[in-house]
Order: sequence, then structure tokens, then C-alpha cells
Amino acid sequence: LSAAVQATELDQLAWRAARGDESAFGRLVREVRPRLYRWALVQSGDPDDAEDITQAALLRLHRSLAGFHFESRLSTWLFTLVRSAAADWRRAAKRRGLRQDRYALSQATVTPASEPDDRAALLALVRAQLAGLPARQREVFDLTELQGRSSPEVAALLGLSESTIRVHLLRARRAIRARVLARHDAGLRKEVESLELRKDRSRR
Amino acid sequence: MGADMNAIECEECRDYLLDAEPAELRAVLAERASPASIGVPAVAGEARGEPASLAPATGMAQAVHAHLAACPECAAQARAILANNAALNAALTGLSGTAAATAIAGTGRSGRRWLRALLPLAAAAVLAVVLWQEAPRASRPLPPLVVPTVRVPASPEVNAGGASGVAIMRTNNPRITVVWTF
Repeated sequence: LSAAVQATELDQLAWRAARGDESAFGRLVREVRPRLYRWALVQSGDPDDAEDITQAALLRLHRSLAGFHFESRLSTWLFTLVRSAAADWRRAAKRRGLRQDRYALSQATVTPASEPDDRAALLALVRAQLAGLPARQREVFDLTELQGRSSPEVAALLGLSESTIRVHLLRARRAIRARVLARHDAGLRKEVESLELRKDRSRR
Repeated sequence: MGADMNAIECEECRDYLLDAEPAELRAVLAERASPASIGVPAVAGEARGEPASLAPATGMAQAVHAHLAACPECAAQARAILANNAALNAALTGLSGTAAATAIAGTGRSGRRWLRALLPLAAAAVLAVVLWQEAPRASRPLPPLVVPTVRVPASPEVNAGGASGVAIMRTNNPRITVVWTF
């Protein structure tokens, strides 16, 4: 979310949009889109699939906004829209026999040539970091560890108990950090080896 | 590595680092150096109102705290964990930002991908219709093709007809307006 639009302002936009204000709906879409896309990307691991999921979620938003009574938080409801769109996408992918989880692909995944270099690098980073984690662990890790949401908030968002959230978070955290530390140690070893090599050369 | 540091060994410290809260790691590292000097941007903890500095609550946390203060290798591991979180968060934010920008500008790759997938189907459908119509009336001349001209006013007006509703969204590009009928 941009800093310009706070949650309450977003609620107001949604309220106006639900009553037929088209400009409010347009602004609401612009404001929530990056957030929905991020959730979709964490779910799918592929930018194109994330785009499709986001579009489907926005369509659902448009269809059902009038029926949203603001009894739950808007962000919770938006997250539900993305998750249900992602579930439909997974079912459709399964029907078509496509691979469902891009994170299951190796880090050597070939990025399409049309992908700009910086975007490809970001995507490679995300895939490498979240590879091998179940979708639920990825969601919880992103929401809690990276976005800084509290466990009760994430529990409400995902419809799970706080203890379940905690278990998912600890598992994801351990998996990701173990990889980071292994990489860190390998880098350190290389550094020590090159230092020793330099020392040897200077002795000679 | 500093194996005989204080009460715990590096191995124990490393195990603790795998589960520690980011705010806890930041608090320990902040005591060694300022966040700017260690290159670890604060991400999650501050957003949910956690204090910037946490006093270690348990005996183990205190031991880790003391160990990190004395062992540069383990402190570097803690920094690597925080830096990794910051990089991953930045990557997800960056990808989401660029995707939103391209979608609003109307040049998303996904749209083109759908178009690419639909074009052969559309072409096949047109061909099938033409062949089906051609077969019985091969000798009959084709009627003149009438292409309706559409003038788009500066402020678009949409007649939904039988549809139940229409939403019009202007984009940053003045040549692109999104119209949804539902």
C-alpha cells in the first residue's frame, strides 16, 4: 500500500466504490493491486500466473464489493479473494496438467528472454529463497516475518489458530535461515581460502 | 570460530539464530553498531510496533546476547539473516510494484500471453465459420463488408444494454480506458 492511502482511507474508497462510485473503484484497484499481486506471487511463484490470479481476484472484488458489509477488515477480505482465486488457478492448472508450483522448479529455471534483467534477478531471488516450502509456510513467512504483521492478525487473515501460524512460521524460518547460513559459511570459507592463498603467494 | 565464548558455544548460538525473532536479532546487533553501519535495514518488527531494542528475556537469550557481543562470526551470521529478510522483502515489493505499473499502463506480459493463446483459437473459429458458410453457397457473391466506425468521446459513455452494470476505469495512459461490464 502506498503511504498516501491508509487503511481507513482505503475503507472509505471501498465504501464509495461499493455504492457505485467508479472513480473510487478505479483508485481502489490501483491502491490494492500491488498488495494482491504480492500475495498471488507468493502463492504461485510465477509472475504471469500471479498476474492472472490478481486479475481474477480484482474481478471478484468488483462483483462482490456491493455485498461486503465492512464487518471484517477489508484487507482480510481481499486476502480471501486472492486465496480463492489462487485455489481456482491451482485446480485449473491441475486440469490442464501443468506444473502447479513454480517454487518446486530448480533454481536453474530458465527465465523468458523478454524478462528484463533486474526483474529476472528479483524473481530468481524470490524463487531461490522460497523454494521447497509449502504454500502455507510461504504465506505465513511473508506476512509475518517480512511484512511485519502480528501472529493474531495473520491467524485472522488465514483463518488458522495462532499456534498453527507459529508452527508454520518456525518451520519456514528454520528452512530459509539454514540455507542463508550455509551460503554464508560457504562464502566465509572461500574468503578464508583466498586469504590463505594470498598469504602463501606473498611468502614465496 | 570463537568456540569458547561465554556460556554457550557457536553451535548452540547458531541453533538459536534459526528461531530467533528478527527484532531480537536487530536489538543485539544494534548494540554492536548502528543499523546503518551494519547495513541491515529494519523491516518487520518496527511495522508491528515492536520496540527497537529488546532486553533478552530468558537465560538462553541472555547467553546468546552475550555470545553475539563477543563472537564476530556469529554476529555476522545474525546480520546475514537480517540482510536476507530485507533483500527478500525488497524483491517481493519490487516485483509487485513493477507488475502494478505495467498492468496500469496496459502492457502486461500476461495480457499478451492470453492474446497469444486465444489468437489461434479465434482464427480457427473464423475459418470454421467461413468454410461452413462457403460450402452450400459457393457461387453466391459475398455481401459488401460494412465496418462500423466508432468515435470515442473524450469522456466515454457506455450503454450496458442487457448487462447489469458497467465500471469505467481511467488509466495513467490517456489512450487506455478500461471498461468492465458485469
